[in-house]
Amino acid sequence: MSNRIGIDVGGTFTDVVLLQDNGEFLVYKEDSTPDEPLRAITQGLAGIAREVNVEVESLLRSTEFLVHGQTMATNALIQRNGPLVGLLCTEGFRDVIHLGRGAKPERFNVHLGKPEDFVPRYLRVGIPERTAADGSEVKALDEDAVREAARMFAKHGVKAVAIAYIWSILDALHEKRTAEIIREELPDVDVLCSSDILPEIREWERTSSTIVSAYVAPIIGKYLRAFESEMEKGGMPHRPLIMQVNGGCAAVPDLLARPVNAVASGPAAGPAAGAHYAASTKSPDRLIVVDMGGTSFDVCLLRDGEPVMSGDIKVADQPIGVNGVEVLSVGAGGGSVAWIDSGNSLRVGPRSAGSQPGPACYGRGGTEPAVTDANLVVGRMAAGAFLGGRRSLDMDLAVKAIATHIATPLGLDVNTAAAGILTIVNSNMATAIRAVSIERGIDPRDYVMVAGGGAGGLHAAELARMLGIGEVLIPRSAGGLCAFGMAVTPVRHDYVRLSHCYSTKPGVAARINGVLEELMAEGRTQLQADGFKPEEIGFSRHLEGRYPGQVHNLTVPLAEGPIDDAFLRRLETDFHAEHEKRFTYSMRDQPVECLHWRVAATGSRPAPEGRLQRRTDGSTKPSGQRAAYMAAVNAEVATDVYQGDTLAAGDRITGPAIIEFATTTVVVNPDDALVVQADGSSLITIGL
Amino acid sequence: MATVIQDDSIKDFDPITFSVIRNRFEAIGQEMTLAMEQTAWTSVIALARDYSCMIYDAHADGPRQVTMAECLPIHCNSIRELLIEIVSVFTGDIHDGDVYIANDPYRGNTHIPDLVTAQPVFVDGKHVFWTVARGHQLDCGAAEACSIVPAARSIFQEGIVIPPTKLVDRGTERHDMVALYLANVRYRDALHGDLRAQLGACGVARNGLIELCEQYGRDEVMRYSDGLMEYADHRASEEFRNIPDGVYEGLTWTDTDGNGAVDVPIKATVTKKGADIQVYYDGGAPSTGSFNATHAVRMATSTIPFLYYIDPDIPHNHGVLKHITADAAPGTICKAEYPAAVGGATTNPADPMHDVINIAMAEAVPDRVPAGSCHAGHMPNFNGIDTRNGREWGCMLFNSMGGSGAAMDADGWPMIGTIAGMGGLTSASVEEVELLYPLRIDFNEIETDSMGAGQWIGGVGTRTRYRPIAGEMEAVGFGEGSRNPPHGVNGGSMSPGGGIYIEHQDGTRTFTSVAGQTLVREGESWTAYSSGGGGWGSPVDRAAELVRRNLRDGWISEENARELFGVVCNDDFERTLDEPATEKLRAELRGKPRPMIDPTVPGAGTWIPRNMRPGDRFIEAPTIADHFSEEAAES
Repeated sequence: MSNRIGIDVGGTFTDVVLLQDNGEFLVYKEDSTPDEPLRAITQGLAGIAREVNVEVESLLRSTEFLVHGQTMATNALIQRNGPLVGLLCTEGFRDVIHLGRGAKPERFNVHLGKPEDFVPRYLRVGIPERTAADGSEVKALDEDAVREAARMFAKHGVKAVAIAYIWSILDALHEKRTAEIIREELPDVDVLCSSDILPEIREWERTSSTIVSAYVAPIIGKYLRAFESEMEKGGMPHRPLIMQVNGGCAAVPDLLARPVNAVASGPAAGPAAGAHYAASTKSPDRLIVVDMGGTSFDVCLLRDGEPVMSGDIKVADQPIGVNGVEVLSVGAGGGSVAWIDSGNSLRVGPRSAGSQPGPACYGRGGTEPAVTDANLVVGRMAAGAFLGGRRSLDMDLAVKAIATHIATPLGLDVNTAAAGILTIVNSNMATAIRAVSIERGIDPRDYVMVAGGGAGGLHAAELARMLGIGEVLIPRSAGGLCAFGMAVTPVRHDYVRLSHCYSTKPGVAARINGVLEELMAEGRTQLQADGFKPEEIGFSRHLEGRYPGQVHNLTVPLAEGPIDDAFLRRLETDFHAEHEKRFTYSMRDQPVECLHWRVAATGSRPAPEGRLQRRTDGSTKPSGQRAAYMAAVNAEVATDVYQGDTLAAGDRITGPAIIEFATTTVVVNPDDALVVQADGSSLITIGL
Repeated sequence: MATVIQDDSIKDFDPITFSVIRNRFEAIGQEMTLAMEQTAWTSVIALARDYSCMIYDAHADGPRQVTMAECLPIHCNSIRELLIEIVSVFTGDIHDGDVYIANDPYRGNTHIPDLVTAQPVFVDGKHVFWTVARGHQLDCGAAEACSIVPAARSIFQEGIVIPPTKLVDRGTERHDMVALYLANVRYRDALHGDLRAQLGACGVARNGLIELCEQYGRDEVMRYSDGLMEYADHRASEEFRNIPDGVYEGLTWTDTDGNGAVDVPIKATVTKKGADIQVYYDGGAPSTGSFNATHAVRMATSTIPFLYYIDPDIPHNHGVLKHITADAAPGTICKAEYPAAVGGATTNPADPMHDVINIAMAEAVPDRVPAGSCHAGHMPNFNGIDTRNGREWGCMLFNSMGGSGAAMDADGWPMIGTIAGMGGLTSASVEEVELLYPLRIDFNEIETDSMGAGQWIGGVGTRTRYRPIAGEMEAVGFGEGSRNPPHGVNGGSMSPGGGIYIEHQDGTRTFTSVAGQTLVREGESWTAYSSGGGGWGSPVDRAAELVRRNLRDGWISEENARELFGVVCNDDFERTLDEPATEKLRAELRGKPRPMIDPTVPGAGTWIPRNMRPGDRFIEAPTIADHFSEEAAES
């Protein structure tokens, strides 16, 4: 037996998903223990072992992949409670991270303060040294200055040192030598070089990426080593894996070589979950994956079967530099608060009532109306069906909150106001989806939506309708979407090289081919060391380039095969087409100016398909009926209510209908139909 | 307590649809902005983000702003006049699929480099919207290889003037017009790319608006568009009424008129009555160079401060903008008269014309006015021929921008560059600059004591040095702000200003005014010290702990910590606070009155006199012919 386990530690819950090789899977939720995350993990593993009637040890012994997603790195950045970090940089460029690109957000808010730098200026030391743009040495490394800085760092109690020199990507010698000296002088601190962390042009992003790495390294280093040894002690025959921002996972030592990859990694598991479930949909390689929880709505895309990546991800206003799954997060969730602005216009979010006090209907003292209150008032949620019946919702408090704050001031009745709150939160979410699709030249109508999170099923079909999306899939594990994604995501290592050239230059193909071959060989070696056989190893390759003279870059995928002149002509055609698609025009008489060549090496074994044991016999019946608001007809209509655990594979339910699962509720609008899939997921077809 | 509906007009709208359509207009503006930024060719647009995207309606009384995605605020409240010109020229001849271009500063535009493209949007045969993009072009075919020629004597030396012109006729591009335009500018491939990006942005927004009308019905969308203006009008009026009525006056000085005159006064009289604001500018003699304000510039500089005095959430549409009007006394630098040159207008005199509103309004709204921000002045245009391959190169760089003014509860930001941008300008990566151009950057760092002191301090100024490494280069600068640095307010101090110099191989240095044209030979270097922002509130009210950290971090010197902030730190590793000494010193300093606005006299900048060494020279408004050619060297 070869199990897979995904462990997603969130702010509120630690989700543990067990996927067995017969396709059965379980989701177990344990309260998170932020002071000591391992405790909740241990308890969660014990809990899930109990459910399948085995000892934890035997469960771990039979586990092939165990992938852990943590939020410790992100939290340290957001809360700014990390250790003191020192930075060594090229003399004259001590303020790269303060000056950044110079853009100030919110231009008409002059009272906005600038967040503090992650490394205060007195711990940023300029070292005499310089490399030129052609890789030649302009000024030798001043080793005495490095030693002096090390002694200063020691006095201040610096725990990690980032080294980021100008043009170190062309010649890393100065950085490497500096690291050696620092390790000699300060044997107990983490030392990270920018040429290892992010070997890309652009010193701000590279420095920032290195600083983020240094900032989180001492924290996650200690924690992940403890986690690894706990799993080993527990009897796991394989090394546990850690979720990365690039959408794949890696072993602890690999992650600690580039700790920045641990930042913002949780939501990056969304695409893997979506891809696993989407095989039965009409466009399994074009997905919009949404996750709507209590405070935020996360959306990401799978295009041509691969997650859409971004190099511009920021956490706590700090660019992380590395390419990661592009997840757009907006303040729209079950806890988002509805309010009226000074011009009497109804608004929803971005502020959330969170879990304390939470929406008014939680009865924990909250009086402001939230999206969950609106869903309750118009019959889409049942007062007793929240969290599988573990918590009940107070209808009276919800009505009162909406009446007081929204309905009365606007002169609407309570149900119309509640429906209005839903329309506006839907509009906010649709805008977010537009931002990652239409704004990128992607037509969402060609995509299938996969919706997870506690509130995803309530809104997904209506969002799909607004955007012209034809199919929505609500996975059976919707409540633990990312933990599931972790259980099925491949091991992934990213490589990048700057090789600046023009696509039309004679003889350039051989050079590019050499660069890519080298990067792929590195990936192959690494994945073989991870235990993958050659046939389990795959590559995806991308070029980041532009038209000569253009400033921003466009990333295009590279087809398989060796790079020759014919390949480059195809590449140019692809580049023009992509440029046209995203920006309405191309310049077909221009070559492509190539900058970064990227290789992602992945190692994976097929995960078992989930299966629902019951097959339909036509006997599935609603458990009741109630009036519920349906956005498709903008009215409350009599709606059949089903219990999720009574559904069988093949069941077909036409809207209006509501399905109540333990951790989510699914709303099916009139004219829509839901079919229960073989794996227990719900596939909703919009507009029959 | 229940809110009472105060504005009947909103009652006619479904509040839900209202929010949704507002959302969509803003999203379409964003889509437009992104399309333009991502595809632009030149650094001016892609990095400096010197462009803005707007949606206007096609109202019978003239197009009205529906939404604007301001990348640079100086473009704000100034497109309407130009659209009115386009409409008046082409009345009866505006068709679906048309696109218009124009840049004529005497027909409603800011200045020549801001090329405007406008596309009418037709739905079911009716013209209902305009999508408009305005982007600063790297070159306009002026006498010098620069989009702004400070010393231009008239508009005829500033490049190609384009009155309202049809560029695309019912979907067919007029190749002759495109060719005419490109034949008159330098770097035509890049500018052709920028033009395509600009047309692409208009097209993206047009598609979005048509889709919106298909969804909600054309007339319904137009009704809500009107409603959004009434909504913004309602919210803004309430805030404007809360500003005390009165006539407020402000005075400041600009370093130069771009052509030799120094310390030119700029005055503003702001009449605030009810919900309406009238600004009347007065000032020194017109510039004999290009630093003359156009109408579009006056509208922007008088509008921007009032947009940040009110809730930034209020949509910046016609409902707000219509409350603000601006004019200026004829025969002054604030009112360009044809055919005066106006290339510098969007920063000079725009920057001081913006600051002077805050100076005037400090008495009325002390908590809302920020201190002075750095002015445009350290954004060099470099160009030359790369001796390694014989290629011409040129770029405009923003790495040496100065800081913004402090405001209540917030220190200023670094790298603001010009108050016209309010943080919209972005700089290039040092490595990208060195990859693309034959330049080396020696340093780009915070300069100690470069900002004004205050309870809240100005954003830092920077020091930056460029060195040509393959042949000589020409450096063209515009703007000002060295002699007359950003002001402090409410007891905060002014910043010390900054300056520019070229260091020669013999070690002597030529200091110049910010505006001018110089030559930097291989082996020489070009160095800029940009000005930080002014301070807000008295420096002795700044938290001593913040001053300690500023000292520890080298933002301020020991001397300034004591003399301006009254903070004494021990000479230990952490620079711990000497609390008793600090209290004593602060008590003394509190006794000294501080002016509401600092400085009170022209030419107060201290940086240049402090930094010139024996053997150095200073040139006001240099030109290569007069000061850097072989002949000039011999004479």
